[in-house]
Amino acid sequence: MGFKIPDNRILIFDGAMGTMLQERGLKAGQFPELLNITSAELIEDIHREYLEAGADVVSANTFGANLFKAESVGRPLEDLIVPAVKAAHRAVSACGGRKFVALDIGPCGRVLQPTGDLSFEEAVELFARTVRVGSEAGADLILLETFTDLYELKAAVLAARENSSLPVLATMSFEENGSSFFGTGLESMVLTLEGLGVQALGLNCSLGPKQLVPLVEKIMALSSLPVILQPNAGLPVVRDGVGGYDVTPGEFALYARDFARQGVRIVGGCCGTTPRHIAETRGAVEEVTSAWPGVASRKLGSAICTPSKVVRFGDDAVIIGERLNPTGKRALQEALRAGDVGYLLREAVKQQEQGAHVLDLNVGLPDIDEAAMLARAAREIQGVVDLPLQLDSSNCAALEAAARCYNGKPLINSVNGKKESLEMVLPIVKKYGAAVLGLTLDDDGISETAEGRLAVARRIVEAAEAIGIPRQDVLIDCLVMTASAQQRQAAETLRAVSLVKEELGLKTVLGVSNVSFGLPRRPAVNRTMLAMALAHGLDAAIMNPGDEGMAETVAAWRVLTARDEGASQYISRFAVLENSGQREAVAAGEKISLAHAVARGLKDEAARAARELLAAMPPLEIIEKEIVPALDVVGREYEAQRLFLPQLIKSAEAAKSCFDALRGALERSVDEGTGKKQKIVIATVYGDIHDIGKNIVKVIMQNYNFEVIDLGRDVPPQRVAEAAAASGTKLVGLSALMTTTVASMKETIELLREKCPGVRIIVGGAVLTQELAEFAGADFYARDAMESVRLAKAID
Amino acid sequence: MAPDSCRAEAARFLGAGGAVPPELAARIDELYTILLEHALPRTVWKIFDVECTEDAVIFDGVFSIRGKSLAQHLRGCGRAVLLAATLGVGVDRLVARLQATAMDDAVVLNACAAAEIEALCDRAEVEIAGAAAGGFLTARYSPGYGDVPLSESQKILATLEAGKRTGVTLTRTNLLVPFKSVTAVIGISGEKREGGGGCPQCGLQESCPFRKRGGSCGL
Repeated sequence: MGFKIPDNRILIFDGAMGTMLQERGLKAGQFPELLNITSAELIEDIHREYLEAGADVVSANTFGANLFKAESVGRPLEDLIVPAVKAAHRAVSACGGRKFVALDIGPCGRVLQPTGDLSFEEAVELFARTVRVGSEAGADLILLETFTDLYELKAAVLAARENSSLPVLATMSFEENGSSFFGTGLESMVLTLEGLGVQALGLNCSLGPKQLVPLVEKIMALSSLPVILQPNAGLPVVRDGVGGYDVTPGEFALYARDFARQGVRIVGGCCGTTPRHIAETRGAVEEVTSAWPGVASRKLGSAICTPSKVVRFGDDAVIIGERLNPTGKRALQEALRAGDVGYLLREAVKQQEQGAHVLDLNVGLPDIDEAAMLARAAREIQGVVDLPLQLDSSNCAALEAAARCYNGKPLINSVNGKKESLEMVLPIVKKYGAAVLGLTLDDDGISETAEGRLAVARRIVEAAEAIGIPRQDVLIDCLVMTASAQQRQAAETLRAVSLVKEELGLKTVLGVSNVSFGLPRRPAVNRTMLAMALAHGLDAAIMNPGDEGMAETVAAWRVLTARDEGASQYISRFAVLENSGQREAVAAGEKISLAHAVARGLKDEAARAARELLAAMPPLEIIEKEIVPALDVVGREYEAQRLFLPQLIKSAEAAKSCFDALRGALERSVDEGTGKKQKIVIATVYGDIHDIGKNIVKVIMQNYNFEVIDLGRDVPPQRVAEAAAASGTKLVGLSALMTTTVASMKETIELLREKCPGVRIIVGGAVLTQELAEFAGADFYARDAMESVRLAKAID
Repeated sequence: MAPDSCRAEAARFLGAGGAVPPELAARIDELYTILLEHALPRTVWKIFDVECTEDAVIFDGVFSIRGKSLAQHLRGCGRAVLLAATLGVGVDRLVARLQATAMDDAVVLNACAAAEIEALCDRAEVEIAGAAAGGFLTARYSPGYGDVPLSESQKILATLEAGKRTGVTLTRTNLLVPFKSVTAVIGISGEKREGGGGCPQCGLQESCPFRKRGGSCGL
């Protein structure tokens, strides 16, 4: 019979393996998994001690048994895993009774992109290898434990679910403040794991039982799944920096009993625990007989998250920022076609600063690979903004690609009442544990009555529940129609919002701004519609958070519904706004020249000065006679060390605002053939993930009006060569931080010489010197960003 | 507000070696405060008995860290400390975010972080000195200096269980993640040594960013 979490008693896991091995002579710096090969009896003995102490489940000695480890010790993965599982099974057989073996899987030791260099799919495949070997060797369940990065844990859970049918239990280790090293919060862990279909979730390692008390209380209030706890035997007693632990087996067991009384279903031990801890725990929890009430409805309600931020629908009005969408935005369309996500990142940060709680992300353009771009954009935005995303596409492949690599629990936008949509979208929602936005339309179009839309909403939520998606994860968009064309529909939409809430108990979302299409003074109509919708119980509005009228409406609504206690947020927001100015405000009425604005790094003033000059001279002349000389002055000051890097960058950015101000006029003159930007392809070489230097060069060069094609960091030589060839550039810039990656730079240059013989190559980076640049085969070595500009200009 | 020594250090990373211009000092102070809000500093260290061979140092008779330069650095030390330290992954995210929105702030914050990780190691050394019972500490020596391969960081991290205790890991090319992290070996000797030895004994040599601008890091 397979493993199942018992519903009438507490399940006991074993304690530490590493601690037991150290007692038996394992030294720091030795790999415990190698003992599976050389000393299987020793491993078996330890398992037997735990089983005799009363453990129901033993964890095979496979915590670190992954492909990276196997490669580093020069052994096939099977050698590390198969004997471990067999040894555990021998111990189980010897003991008799219903006991089980867990395939124990810990973090892989590498950090996922964008923080580290391991791609999400590489991580999934790495864990998949361990899962396949372990399941085949006969493990009864899979224990994913001691994770600190929710993203890595998601990869491991997906690997386990896709490569075996074994039950999966998952734990993370937290700091006392309730957050992991990677900034994952308890709520986000629970939301994400519940969605991904694990059997139990919980906490292990890092802390002792005493420090876990407040966290256990929290997790019990959050989790509707069985909770597993594997505390350390107290806190490390620091001797020489690393040490033993301070909780005795008896104390440990008393805590375990309290945890069981609070509803924890599975207890075991982590670092420092021994068979004595487990034996005492077994005895202590024996008397706790509370039966498992069964998987409750989701305690967290309707919610989505990133690792560090949870947004719950229903508590308060949620603002979903609508600006990450290329419709009607030419600059964003161009950026997406060029594969440049910088625009999206800036817009994402801006919307967060404007008060958005969730960001809608749509990258749909007919001529791009939407699946690849939506996934990449989601990943990169998650690298700089911690708001949850609403993944917006009509392309199911794009929705799946992005939901898969999303870090946390996303909202998928959207499904509708059409059979095909339900069949295509809902399985993605289910598999990746997302929430979904259901549009109240079907094959018959959009019903003109609120009742008709309610019926579609009902059909959507029933279809979702039929495949196991909890109803709280379905949100409904009752669809706003254009008031200028269908005036009576505004009231019908509002009535539908109320009906969906009352009859189905679902949360509602509306894209409000459509309502005003075709009318003058659109903002007035929009904010009035928003206020009415909120009064009808709307939970979230998809809107431009920078629309002051609408933002004010939400803020005022929060005051009037007593959500903003004492109106304190309202007051602080608007009182501050009225008093604020620019960080380096210019005295009112002060006229400032372009050169002066650039020198002082004042973006707005620089742009204004450039626009004013347009009346007097053509744009190219402004660049040559005003902007470039101004930048040159700054550059000289920098090189003389009278002015430093941050100021150089600020001046460069002020110059960029001049170029932006001139863009329209410039494009006309470029069309006339009077000037073209010089191109450069830049990249941080393969194997190197430190890219701040490259990014400084990018900013400075863009502001000297180069067209910079930035390939990012850790870029394989092949990609550099391809991009250089495709762009027809005459110039490539490569950056490397470490001596070890200079070899990779050399390889890239060799390939460039072969594939793009005419290209000149500039190299730079912390570790580079003239000699190393020559060794790598570069044409030029640039000491800093200014020198890159000078060299590049000389080449043209 | 940055501690005085850190402010000066951050300014030096930004190229302002002498007196720090007041405007820059103010920017550093402002961003230092933000840095500290996002940092989750962690250190872990352990003292070992060591034996130095010609081209390696053997720890507790179990594993060795390769490098003639390291063996020379630790000559005469019967014990040594392995140290791992980090400011945490929140700082990486902050720098990434600033790079997308305000590059000038990103470089200042990056310099502040570089100063702070050194200060964190200095604070760990105070603790270590206390535990070293009368021994004197040599300068910190990190993989990547001299002929010590970057890959030797793996041994330091594994031995200290630094992944679990501090969140520090390596990329496939042995770069530390989070970025603002350090792994190092510190010798403990019976007698006090003269200074850090200055540039001649440093592994960075011509690739040192300070030397490129005609200065030195002052160690």
